[in-house]
Amino acid sequence: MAAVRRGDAGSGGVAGMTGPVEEYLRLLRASLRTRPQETSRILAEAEDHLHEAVAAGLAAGLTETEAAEAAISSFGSVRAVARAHQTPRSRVLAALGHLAMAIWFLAGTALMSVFAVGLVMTVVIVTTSPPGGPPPPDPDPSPGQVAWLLAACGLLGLATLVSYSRARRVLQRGRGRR
Amino acid sequence: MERERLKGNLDLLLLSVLAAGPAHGYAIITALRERSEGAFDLGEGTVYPALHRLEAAGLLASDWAQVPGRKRRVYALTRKGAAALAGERAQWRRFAAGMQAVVGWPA
Repeated sequence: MAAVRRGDAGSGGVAGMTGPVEEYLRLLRASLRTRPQETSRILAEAEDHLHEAVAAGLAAGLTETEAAEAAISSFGSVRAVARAHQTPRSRVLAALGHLAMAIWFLAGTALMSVFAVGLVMTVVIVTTSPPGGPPPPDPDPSPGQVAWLLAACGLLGLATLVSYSRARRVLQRGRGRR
Repeated sequence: MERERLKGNLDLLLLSVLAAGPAHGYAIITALRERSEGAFDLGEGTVYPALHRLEAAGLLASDWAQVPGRKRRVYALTRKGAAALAGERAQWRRFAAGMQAVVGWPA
């Protein structure tokens, strides 16, 4: 138990819990890709650790800001700590999530591109065809079919991009809450 | 001290520190640094996943303790952990003796 007693020696200095530590914990919460229960545990342990480290820094004569910065530096970057807590399963899930979101975005962009290119081509054909000239012989697909196809691409593309944007916001909010 | 070599032996180091008695993360890391006279200075936040992994393997047990204003997770060696530590120590002694015999210390 000697180790516990040694660690406890400085835990009275809670005044050292300053902005940088809180900001670090907030960023760590947002970066962790772990289950909610694990996230709570990781954050509680990180908070306790940083409190102890800040208290030790204050006891060694550092200012609150210096103690907080030293504690954070020794604990490691948010990225390194979040990565260290990733299990192989969470790494695979995160990669699949990124892939799904990328496909979602690309599908929306492709549909909107088809709509935009089709619209431009229609305008070009309409404006360059001689007025009063003979109509083209029985085009396939018909102008009506092309218009429906373009409208469908445009609406579907818009819906895909809007839902992508909403899903992204929901995911980011969910990460922030954990 | 090369970080990778240290990581390879982290489990043995953590079990050894906890052989002295239950401790929380900060105390374990501080003890590791002090007992190694500063040679073993890891990114402190990356030690916790190793503690979690050892607990998942049944070598450590942990529980929450309350300290003023916050919770603290305290780790302790299990019976299985103590047995694993004994085995790891024996292996380490054989390895260190072999290394010493081949590499030796500078005169």
